[in-house]
Amino acid sequence: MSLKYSLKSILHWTIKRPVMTVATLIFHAGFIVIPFFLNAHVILLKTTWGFGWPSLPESVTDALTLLVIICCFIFLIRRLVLRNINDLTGASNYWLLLLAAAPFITGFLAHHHTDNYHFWLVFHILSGEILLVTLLLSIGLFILRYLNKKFNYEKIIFHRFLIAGLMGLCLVITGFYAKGPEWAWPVGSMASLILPRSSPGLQFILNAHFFLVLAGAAVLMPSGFLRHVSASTINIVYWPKRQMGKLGTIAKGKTGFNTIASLSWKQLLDAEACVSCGKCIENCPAVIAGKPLYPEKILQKIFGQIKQGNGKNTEGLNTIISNDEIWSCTTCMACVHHCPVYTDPVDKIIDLRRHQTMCENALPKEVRPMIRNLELFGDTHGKGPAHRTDWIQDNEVAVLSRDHFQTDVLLWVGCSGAFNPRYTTVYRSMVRILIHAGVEFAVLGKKERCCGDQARRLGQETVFNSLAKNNIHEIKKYTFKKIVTLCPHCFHSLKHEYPDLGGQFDVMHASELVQSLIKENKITPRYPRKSLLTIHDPCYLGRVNKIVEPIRKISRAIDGIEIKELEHRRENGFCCGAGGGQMWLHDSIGRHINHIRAEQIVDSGADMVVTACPYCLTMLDDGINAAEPKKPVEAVDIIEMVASSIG
Amino acid sequence: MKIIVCIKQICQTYAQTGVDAETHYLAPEDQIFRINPYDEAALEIALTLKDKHPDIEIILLILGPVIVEDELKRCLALGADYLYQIEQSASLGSQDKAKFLARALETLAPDLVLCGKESMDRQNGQVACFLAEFLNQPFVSAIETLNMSNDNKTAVVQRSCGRGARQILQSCLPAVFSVDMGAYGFRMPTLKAQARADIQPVHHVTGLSDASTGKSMVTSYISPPCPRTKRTLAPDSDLASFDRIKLLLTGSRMKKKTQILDGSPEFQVTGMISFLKEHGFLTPAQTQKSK
Repeated sequence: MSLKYSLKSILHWTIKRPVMTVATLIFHAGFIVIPFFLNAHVILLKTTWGFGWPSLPESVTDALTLLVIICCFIFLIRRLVLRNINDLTGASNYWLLLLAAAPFITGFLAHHHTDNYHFWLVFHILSGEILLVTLLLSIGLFILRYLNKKFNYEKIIFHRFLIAGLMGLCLVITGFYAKGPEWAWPVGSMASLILPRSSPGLQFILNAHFFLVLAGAAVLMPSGFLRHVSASTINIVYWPKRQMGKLGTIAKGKTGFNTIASLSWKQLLDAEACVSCGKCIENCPAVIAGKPLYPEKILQKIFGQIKQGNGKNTEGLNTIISNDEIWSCTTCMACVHHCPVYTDPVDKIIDLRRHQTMCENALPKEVRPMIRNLELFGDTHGKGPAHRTDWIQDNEVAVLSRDHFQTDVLLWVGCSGAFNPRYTTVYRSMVRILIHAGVEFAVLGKKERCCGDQARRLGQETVFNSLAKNNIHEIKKYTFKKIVTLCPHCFHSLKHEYPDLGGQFDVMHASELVQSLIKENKITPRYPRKSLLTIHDPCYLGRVNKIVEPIRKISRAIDGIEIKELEHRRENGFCCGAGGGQMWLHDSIGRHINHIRAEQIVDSGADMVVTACPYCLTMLDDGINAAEPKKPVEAVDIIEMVASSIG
Repeated sequence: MKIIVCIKQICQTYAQTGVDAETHYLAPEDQIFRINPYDEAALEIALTLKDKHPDIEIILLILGPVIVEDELKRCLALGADYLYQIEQSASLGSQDKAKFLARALETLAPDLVLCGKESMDRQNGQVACFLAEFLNQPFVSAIETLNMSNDNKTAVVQRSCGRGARQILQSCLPAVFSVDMGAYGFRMPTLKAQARADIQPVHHVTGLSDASTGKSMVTSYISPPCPRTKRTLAPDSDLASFDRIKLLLTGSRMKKKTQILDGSPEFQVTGMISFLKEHGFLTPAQTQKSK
């Protein structure tokens, strides 16, 4: 751990978000200092082991304890009050907070002899021991996971309870030996009836076990993985500020990074916060398909560079992170979603790609024609803007122009909608729905260009910038209420990435619009469709933008549809294998990701899979054909399904 | 060593969606201004040579105004060293273009001149051979690969002759080669190179003002005769079945007035000239002028 970078990082956050940073730091400092240097603890140590160390004056520890309790209250209030943090708070977060705060509160109350000294003291010992055991438990689980990567403790709950039970039993027994049968130890006093009296030596060790555990934790704290105690905490605090999947813009003339010297504060902190717990590895589609990418290893390799030096004399990251790793990522954000400390390996991968593409000239050969098409024609298919309105076929769609500049809904077509023959039919279905519902809508027509998502995720920032600026310039000429698109990639770019370039638009996904139209009774699915249906959530819709309900609500609105959910669903969806430019990259190592997903769908026994993304549709079609199911499985877009049922 | 790549900026019409009401020309969205892809292939050949021998200097030469600055800068960023422009605004025929280029090339004195096989807009494919004629240098058309000898005196080129046949030729330098699409690789500029290229100036080739623009070549546009309407008469039942089917396929009883010339190239050329004279496409005065 480079001290310089750590200090810089802490300083940076102190300036940016002073209250939370200071509170976090005080809390953690108090957490370590108070148990060790409290006068009472030191006296206890001296009486049991005969030695001790100088303790802090009582006024200082008192004040510090009060501060820690106040900090805990700040955390609690923050969780309760701030909306975006409240959304991701579960019961476990409150339990953890209570667990951490209880020893301090009870100790404080006991120390000041408020009312019932004995009660608070016993409560204090109990809560302290529970906290320490929880610490030990998590370390034990961590070691187990580390030894066996396939050890999935979420599934094998039994193991978790077994270990917890064993730890608890140890605590009760040692507590009994240390304190004797007291009324506060009901289990211990019962155990004392069975257990024989221990030898004085054992009793001595058991008496001091509290300090042994404490000392062990203290030794482990700064070295090794427990560095995350500080880094991860700060990382968790700042996570809600970031929109998942949103890439940062880069300064003019910069090209991603190759050495850690050009990493941002957040990226350095991410690397330090990673405890290599392996949750990302369990969920990464590239790993499951046997590709050489391990999201956690990207962070660990960057952290290795941070440990080596100050970033100036270290060799380039491309020597330790291979090209195969970088170009295997589908940017599906599964690793980001599953990271317990909210690190983001994807933005590092993208920055490494940016360096490869814009500085090393190492963009894979197979995507270069696509990038050239974007440069020359402004679309991924190389057909050119003159063919952008060919999908309309007859003249039922209004095209925005100088004379017709006002509309309610601007339908964003995108490259797939305009040129992919399969997806043009979906867009025509959308047009039917909109006409049926009487929504006033129009398209940009030949003025539209690719949203640039694919270029950006492949590291071609200059192409993305020119396309995005062109689009923003065109969109701003017209007045409309909202942009509606069917492609989650376009949706994500327009909603989250265009504001950085000066394009603030109200963007809506088509499934949301159709759901609201059904809710307002503007369209009613009349014709029932009898089928067992399963849902594939596109990553950029479900996981990144949390739009999962509309697809389900629409499906339920159609009579005869029965939904069978997959194991990987909603925010935990499994990538189709086409994101992040993988649509145009050769997939030569390991299995195809879409084949894995198609097998999951075929195994579910459904006869129809519904999705809401052009890439997913193509990939699932291919995957299902490759899986050769006995019962035919149809891949359809949610919009198509609605259009066929409204007649 | 100095390589000059002649670049033409073209207006690619990739779609025909109609005619613009104001200009009575192709609709603006049908046009994309870019560099002739064959010229990009020529640049690619020069750049692959430069990868092997870094001391090679690549000069881009354009005739007329700068139309697609971005793409020209992109060519510079790919590895070309200089961009030269011959200032000329009149619209010229192939021969006049070649004359201007030849004069400019005389002042620049390159070791090798590369051109695209043809431009995608006009598709004449004449500039390169006229250029070789005016410079009095050897010429090979439609090459796909190029290798230099160690002393940079000779070049070995490979050209495709169609139907999978390849021809390997050795030529002394300086020479003029026109390039076919075979070597087209998707080279991409790095951001640093792009930034360097963006501030590169356009050099002007001066001292060509005395070049006579008098038209030495007359181009007459001959449109092919309209296709004969196929008569769908019932075939004459007197004819044999083979002839009846042939009649249905060809559509008429008239014989095509096709004349296939064979023999040596010189004989074919004299045959063509006599054909043109016979049909009045060439007047005796024009023939004399071109001589």
